[in-house]
Amino acid sequence: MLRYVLQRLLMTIFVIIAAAILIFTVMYFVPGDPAKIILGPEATAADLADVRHQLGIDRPFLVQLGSFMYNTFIKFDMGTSWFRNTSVFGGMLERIPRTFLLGFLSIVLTSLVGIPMGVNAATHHRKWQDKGVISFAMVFMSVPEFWVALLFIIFFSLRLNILPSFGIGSWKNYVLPILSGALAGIGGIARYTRSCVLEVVHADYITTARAKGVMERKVIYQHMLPNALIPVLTNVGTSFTRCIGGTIVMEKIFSFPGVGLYLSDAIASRDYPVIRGCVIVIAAFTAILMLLVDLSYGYVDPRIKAQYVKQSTKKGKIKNVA
Amino acid sequence: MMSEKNDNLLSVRDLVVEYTSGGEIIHAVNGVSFELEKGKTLGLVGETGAGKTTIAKSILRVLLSPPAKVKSGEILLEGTDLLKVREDEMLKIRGAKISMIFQDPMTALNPTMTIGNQIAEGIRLHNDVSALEAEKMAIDMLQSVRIMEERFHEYPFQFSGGMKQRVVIAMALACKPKLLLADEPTTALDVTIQAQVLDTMRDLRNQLGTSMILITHDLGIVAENCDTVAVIYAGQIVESGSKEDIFDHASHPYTVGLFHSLPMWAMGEKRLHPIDGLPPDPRIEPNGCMFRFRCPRATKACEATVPNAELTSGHFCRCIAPKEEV
Amino acid sequence: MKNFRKIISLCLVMCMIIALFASCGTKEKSGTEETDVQTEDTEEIDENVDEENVATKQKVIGSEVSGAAIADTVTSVQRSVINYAVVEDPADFDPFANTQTKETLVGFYQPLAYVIKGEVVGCLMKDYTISDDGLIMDGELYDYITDTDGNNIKASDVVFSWEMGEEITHIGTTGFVDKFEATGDYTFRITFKQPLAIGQMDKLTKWNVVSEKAYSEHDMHTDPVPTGPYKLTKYTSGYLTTYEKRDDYWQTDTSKLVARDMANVDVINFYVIPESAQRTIALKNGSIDASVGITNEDLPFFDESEDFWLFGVPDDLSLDLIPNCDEGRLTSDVNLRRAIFYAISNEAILESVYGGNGSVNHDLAPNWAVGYNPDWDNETDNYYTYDPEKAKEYLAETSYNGEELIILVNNSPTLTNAAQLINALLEQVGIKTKISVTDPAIIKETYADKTAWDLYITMDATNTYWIDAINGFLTKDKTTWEGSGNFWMDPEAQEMINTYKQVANATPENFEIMRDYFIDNALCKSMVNPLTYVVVPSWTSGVCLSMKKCFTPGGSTYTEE
Repeated sequence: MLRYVLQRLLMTIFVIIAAAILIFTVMYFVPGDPAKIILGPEATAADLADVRHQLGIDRPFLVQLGSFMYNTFIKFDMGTSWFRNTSVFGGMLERIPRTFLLGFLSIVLTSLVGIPMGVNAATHHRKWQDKGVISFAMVFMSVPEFWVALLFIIFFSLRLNILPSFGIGSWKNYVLPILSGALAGIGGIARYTRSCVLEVVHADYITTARAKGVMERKVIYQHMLPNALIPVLTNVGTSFTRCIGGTIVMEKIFSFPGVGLYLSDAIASRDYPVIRGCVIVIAAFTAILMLLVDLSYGYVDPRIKAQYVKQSTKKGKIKNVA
Repeated sequence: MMSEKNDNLLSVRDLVVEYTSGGEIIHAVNGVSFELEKGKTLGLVGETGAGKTTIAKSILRVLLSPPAKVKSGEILLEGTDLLKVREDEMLKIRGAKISMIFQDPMTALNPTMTIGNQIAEGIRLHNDVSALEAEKMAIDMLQSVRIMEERFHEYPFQFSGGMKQRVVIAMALACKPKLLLADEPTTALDVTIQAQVLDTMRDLRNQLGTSMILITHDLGIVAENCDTVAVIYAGQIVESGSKEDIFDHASHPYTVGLFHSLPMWAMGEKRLHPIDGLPPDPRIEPNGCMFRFRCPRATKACEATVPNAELTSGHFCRCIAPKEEV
Repeated sequence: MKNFRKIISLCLVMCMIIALFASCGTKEKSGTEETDVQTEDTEEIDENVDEENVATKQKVIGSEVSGAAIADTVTSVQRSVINYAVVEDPADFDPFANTQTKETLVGFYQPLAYVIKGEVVGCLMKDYTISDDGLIMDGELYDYITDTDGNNIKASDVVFSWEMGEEITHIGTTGFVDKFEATGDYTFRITFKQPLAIGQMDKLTKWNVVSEKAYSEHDMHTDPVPTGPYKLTKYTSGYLTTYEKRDDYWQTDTSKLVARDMANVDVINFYVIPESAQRTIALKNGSIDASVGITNEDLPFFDESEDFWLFGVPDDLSLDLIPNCDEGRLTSDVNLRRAIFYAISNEAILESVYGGNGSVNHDLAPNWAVGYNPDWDNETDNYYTYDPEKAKEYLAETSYNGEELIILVNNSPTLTNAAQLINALLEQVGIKTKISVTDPAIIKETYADKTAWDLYITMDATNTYWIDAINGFLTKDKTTWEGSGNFWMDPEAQEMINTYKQVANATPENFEIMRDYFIDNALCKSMVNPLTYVVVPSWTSGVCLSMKKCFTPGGSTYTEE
């Protein structure tokens, strides 16, 4: 298992480096002269040359790439934002915790509410709990997140005035973005959990467990859920990987200064260092989270763990015996 | 079958079970009665869909309650009507007094629990022992089905079909039940493993004195393992008796048809002789003899309810014109 | 169960269809509403605020406390806190950063002087004299200026700040300044290459001055040390900037204190809210007291509300139509340009694109520019007036044959609306155009490519001086190529304007000559000067604006709430 982990870790690093090279190359070939963008059309040719030299963009491509990679990965210096004159790395350090908290809590809320809802619906199949959950899921999966967010703002910020509608002053600022982001997710997870549990409900081993004399409650929690929730956790795990990159809509609506808003502003103003920095950070986080999630599957489902072990050993020390 | 013998372990009387599906009623079991003596094995024979599994699951009360419903009848285990027992009492009976083995070993075990723990779970439910003791008892059971102690901590996917079934057997017999319900335990296994599994079951039963209801559609297995036989058709027992009664003196046209449809290579036959027609649609309310649509000897009189005639002592046949001994 | 699900699905589908149709109608509404907001006539430099107005309650359209009003003459209740919404995060507090025009930074650092409508009002500079030949300027600083670190600002610091400004910000004075040196502790001398031209005094005085010592000791990007009346006490990037009033502010002589340097509020909180809808909500629920950038649709609410009033000022920018005069384009034909200009109705654009919020331009610069001759407003025929018949006449004299002209415009909704209207107006006289909407980040490059466009619609800064406005289209002062901002190349015109820009030659007669040349050659048409509004709370009695028409909380005046 350790071998598997190391192999995956190596691959993750490779993925991050590849992402860095890719984004650098793409931004390099995108049309637009950075010096003109910064100084505007009234700059003289001398000024432009000056700025180009300052930014280092008059050097050949490979030299720039090399220097960029060196700076980013060895010195952790992602450069300075062209329009804000602040260090990109510093900006990221400030914003990553905010976005991460937003994304993480959103997913946690989604799971904590959605999974029990789904289990409840499945174990009360065809009764009102089931119908209620299905309707809820249908409604909230069909409406766009931002619409829900705007409704919340109008209701809680404007009418009732109990929650702020922008910024990151205190914990209160996190409530509305997390809530509106989570609602759609809750519907989805509830539905998915419900169908996973329903599949398991009719499984033979459930009847076996009952036939052994296990109490119905224990049957649900110790026999049904551990099996039914494996695909559900897969689903939840995948959403964790979008923790960092997926919050842009909420950030925009709530003027929440996180990584998503940073990136979106940078794209609009063609702030190359920020764009590059954000993309690399998002790629890194996604890759690492994905690795952690995959490893957690091994912990939860012994069949997966065996697969991992098999994958990483050359001559399979296969434990399967006829 | 109103025998008054006192060493009856199980006595089923007029069991009727229905399923509701999409607004329609499916008549699965239509008045089944039989008895089982202590230490003996009863074979329940019939085609797929005849209602055999439903009977077994009703005894253990593990039918899925919607859509299934036990409409009427009695199931007496040593005198107590299981259908009227409270659920928490039933929990103590399941696994401890009555156990069940299911047909498909591949899906009968929880994939995310070690096999050892699955056995130990049952042990701990019905015995007041510590986890360590339960583990030891489980290991003993495993060894009695010839599975090595080291495999206690392995998961079902690491075992083959035959081994899984042996685990299931170990699990079922771990608490030394009085009655074992085996629902086609070897149907999913290949022939060589079948023999192994059945041998294991027989050894254990002899050791523990367990009675068994063996559900199968394989007459060969019945011949090897059962003391008494009941033949089921369309949710009713059409013929029952001792093994010799059924095999040597088959009387009901259906039973006769079953034996005839066995391929007899030794006799030089080149063609099979299936019974004409198909089993009746269970949505139709049973009336009269349900075999009359396929019976070569059916008459108008078969439309009326057919009494259960006792041909010889213990040999019952539900037919007004049973096959006469030639 | 199945039926239940079907019913819900159907309801949702109906809702979606209805929503789709409902949203279709609202797009063009923005231009048509008339808002009846009154604006103060801002042509006069009003040094005295109406005493009565300060005391009476809201709905008083307060006068612009133009930043030049002297502290003695303006009364205000000291306010403890004001919360103000800004559009952009300051991010960088460096005095020499390119981002000097951010709302939060205006009034934070201080320059030598403020030039308000052409008049020099000293800030750090106590006094100055210019020699008779116009080539030497001697200035004197107040000798008791201190920054928040306690450093005394000396002439050497002024020279240092100038050098840094040139190097980093490219303030643009090296073209006409020969030498800048300190002549004493608090005196300095600037030597010019030629006598001062119009607008150069502005450039010479508006950059920030900081102590050289403080600059080397602190990283001013994040830890600023200003000389102004406020200091930075809190900064959360992307969210909040907090200024607190300095108790040790150096200018204690209130007769010298200009509104822009006053600190009528103890604590100013700048909240970053990029979305205008969010700003509206924040105003309504009280998280914010004042804000700029409220959309036209939301303004009426604040206009009618008891808790707010609107203060409108003409924007620094005007909507301009710039033709490409390069020889390779159809628009190099002056008759075609004249035809185009006559075909466009400034009034129509004002009404439909800006909802009537603003004024029509009768000349290249709006009528509040310094040097603007009020008679020009009444001229009836000079291409800035709408006359489709004349347009067709001029069109007939060209060799135009239905070719499509390219209109270049960036993707902001206002400008694209204007482009569409212009396209329609030109179509009416028979000129076909194609609108090319471009990303703001690369539009400057496209603009620089003379083969890429025929007509460029943009918001152009008109500065304060009329002659500066036409400067851009006659000289290559503002371009990187051999030609002016519309690819017009006439060395004679360049000569002319360089002469007339000099203060001594800036006479109304010379201006007329320039203007005639400009109009004759149909070099540019300025259409609308829109109003921008700032929404202020009812307890604000007077609004102070900084040089970039930014709301300055410290300088504005307040009453009891």
